[in-house]
Amino acid sequence: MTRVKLNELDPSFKDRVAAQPGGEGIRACFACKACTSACPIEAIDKRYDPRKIIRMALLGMKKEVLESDFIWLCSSCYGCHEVCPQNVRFTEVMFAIKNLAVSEACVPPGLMAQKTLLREHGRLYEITDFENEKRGKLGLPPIVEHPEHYDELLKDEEAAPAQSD
Amino acid sequence: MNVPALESVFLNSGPLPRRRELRRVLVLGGDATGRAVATRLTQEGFEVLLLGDEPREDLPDSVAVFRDTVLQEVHGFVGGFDAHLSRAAGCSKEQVGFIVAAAPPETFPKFDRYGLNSSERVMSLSEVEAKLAAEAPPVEARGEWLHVAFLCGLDGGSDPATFARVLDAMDGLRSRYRAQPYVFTRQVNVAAWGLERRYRESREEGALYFKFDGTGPVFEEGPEGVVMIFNDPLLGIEMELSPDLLVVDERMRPPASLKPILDLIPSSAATSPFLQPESTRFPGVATAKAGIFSLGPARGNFGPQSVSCDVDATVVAMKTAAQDQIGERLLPGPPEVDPARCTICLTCVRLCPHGAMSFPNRAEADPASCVRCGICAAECPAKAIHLPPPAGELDLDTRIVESTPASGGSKKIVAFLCARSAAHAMETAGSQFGSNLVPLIVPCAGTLDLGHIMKAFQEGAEGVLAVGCHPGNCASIYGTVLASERAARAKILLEEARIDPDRLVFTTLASNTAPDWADTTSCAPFSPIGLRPIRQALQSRWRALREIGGRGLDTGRAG
Repeated sequence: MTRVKLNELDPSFKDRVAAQPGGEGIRACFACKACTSACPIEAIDKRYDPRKIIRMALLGMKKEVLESDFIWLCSSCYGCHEVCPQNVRFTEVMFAIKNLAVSEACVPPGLMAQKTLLREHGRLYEITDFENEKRGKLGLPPIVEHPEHYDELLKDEEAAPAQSD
Repeated sequence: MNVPALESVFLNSGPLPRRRELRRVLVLGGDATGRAVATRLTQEGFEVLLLGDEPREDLPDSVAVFRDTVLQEVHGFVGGFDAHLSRAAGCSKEQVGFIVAAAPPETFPKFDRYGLNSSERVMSLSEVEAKLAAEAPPVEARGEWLHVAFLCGLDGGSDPATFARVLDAMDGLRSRYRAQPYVFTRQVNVAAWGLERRYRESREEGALYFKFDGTGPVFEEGPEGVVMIFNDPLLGIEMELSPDLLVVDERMRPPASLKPILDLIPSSAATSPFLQPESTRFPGVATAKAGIFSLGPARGNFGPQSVSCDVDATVVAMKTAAQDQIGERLLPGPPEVDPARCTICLTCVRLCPHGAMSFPNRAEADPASCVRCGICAAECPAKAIHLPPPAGELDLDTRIVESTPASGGSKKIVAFLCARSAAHAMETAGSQFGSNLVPLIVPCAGTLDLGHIMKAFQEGAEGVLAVGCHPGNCASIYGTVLASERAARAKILLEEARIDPDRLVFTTLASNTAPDWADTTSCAPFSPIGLRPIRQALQSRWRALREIGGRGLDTGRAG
């Protein structure tokens, strides 16, 4: 990686994360690494290191954080949340960061496809006649899709997009 | 180890007081701390002399204020200090029972330590503080943000007082600029009132900390001023910062006005910039020398709550000392100096960490100042000093003889244990060391001299264990350091005597580390099967040597 120039980073980025619901705790981090030790994702993919993500956000490395793909790897297990001695609540911080990424149109294509599935089918897996026929043979009732609620939810989000400042 | 120059010792060590005056106090430093303690002591019935140039507005009338006065020299002991004061009008000598140092340390910036030069955008912490106090903006911002880099103990020295000042300056800058503070440090020391909380608050307000273990930042001179280049310790990525303002921290040294006091306490060179060491053995305002106190900024406590606590502690300590009529009923007595043996070399006067040795015309310990560490006796080259044992106990040499196999004892290993640390650790650990070891408790590891160690071997000990407090935690400042140096010399002697030097182990323990005690006593040289009697070991070695015709004389070791 080329040399990072602190003067060219965005010191207000940490404040933007902290202004998001759930992001408030980020600046309390004193980098003890308890979160990283507790993280099951970090154990298999070193790119997802909670302590480093916090550090990058605090330093103002906005582009590097929001445009990365690793921020989407969080499994929301709340392990980091449990162990944090400074009450950073990192799982919530990750939601805040991901919300900011969405507002800056930095969403992985796979995630957008999932959103379309949710809106159209009310679930991440489309139920077709094939599945319901199989269920019928096993004596199970057919599944009826109810996409209407999700449609409403996601429509609202589009009508009032997350504020981008 | 630095010890004060000989001349100053001659000047400062005075005769023992014949009568102790315990109601008269000299306070050095006339700022808020000095005035507060002077006021409180007056209220408690002490007669206070205050050396300082501040106005006397809020002081009780009975405080004698000495303005434009210099403390030339002091000698004496608790209850009988002679302070020589000089001013334009002439000199005077005042006798006081206690001395309170309240003058804050002097600071000077560490530009040289970092290879930096002072400039428009590179300032010392004091300069920034002065500008902020004068409501003058220290610098012009060059962009939307003012990037401020604070250096805080980046050269290895970190203290809470400087960190508190950094946080104050940070607050001051943030109230005037849209500032992004960066703190470059090795370790943040928050051991002061409210500092942990302020450290957290500073982070929440946006300060960024860079804590380096290895290589710190490199400072390069660029067209826009200083550029700092470093590897972020957390991300491991190379970074650079061109600070709009680079604030250089400062080191402290005792103020010149306290030099006569420093000369009075031989261990003060090891505790600079303050009069007492940063150690759990010195939690309060007391210094190593009885009757001398150091409080507030003079001991690194700058916050108002800490200063107020220190004032209370000083008053309590002084009242207790005055009520006890200190020194009148101390048993057992301090070391005795044999005038026939004493060569007046003054080693004891120079080395007593507590400044307890008096030298009017012969060496003599002040019973009220002596803590019986035994350093004087161990260091005396003429063996003229003897530390009498507590009532009902035998002295150390006799205890060594009685405990070792030559006298019919069954124990094989002699363990000299500092009463303040190792003895407690052993007590907590119970008898985990088995029956092979005889503990001999000494008041301080500094008591232990070469003769004690060699005597134990001479009397048939198979091994010797010597345990002191951790360095920096010794109640006599450098007792444990002296003991380790002597143990190193003893190892050389053992080697020359063809005895395995590993049979002597010097180590340090804290009183609450019982598990470490167990590890220490089970380490290889002391395991019951690991030791052969020295005599047997030597005999088999000589047999082997005879067989090979004397070759390899310097290779083998007994044991």
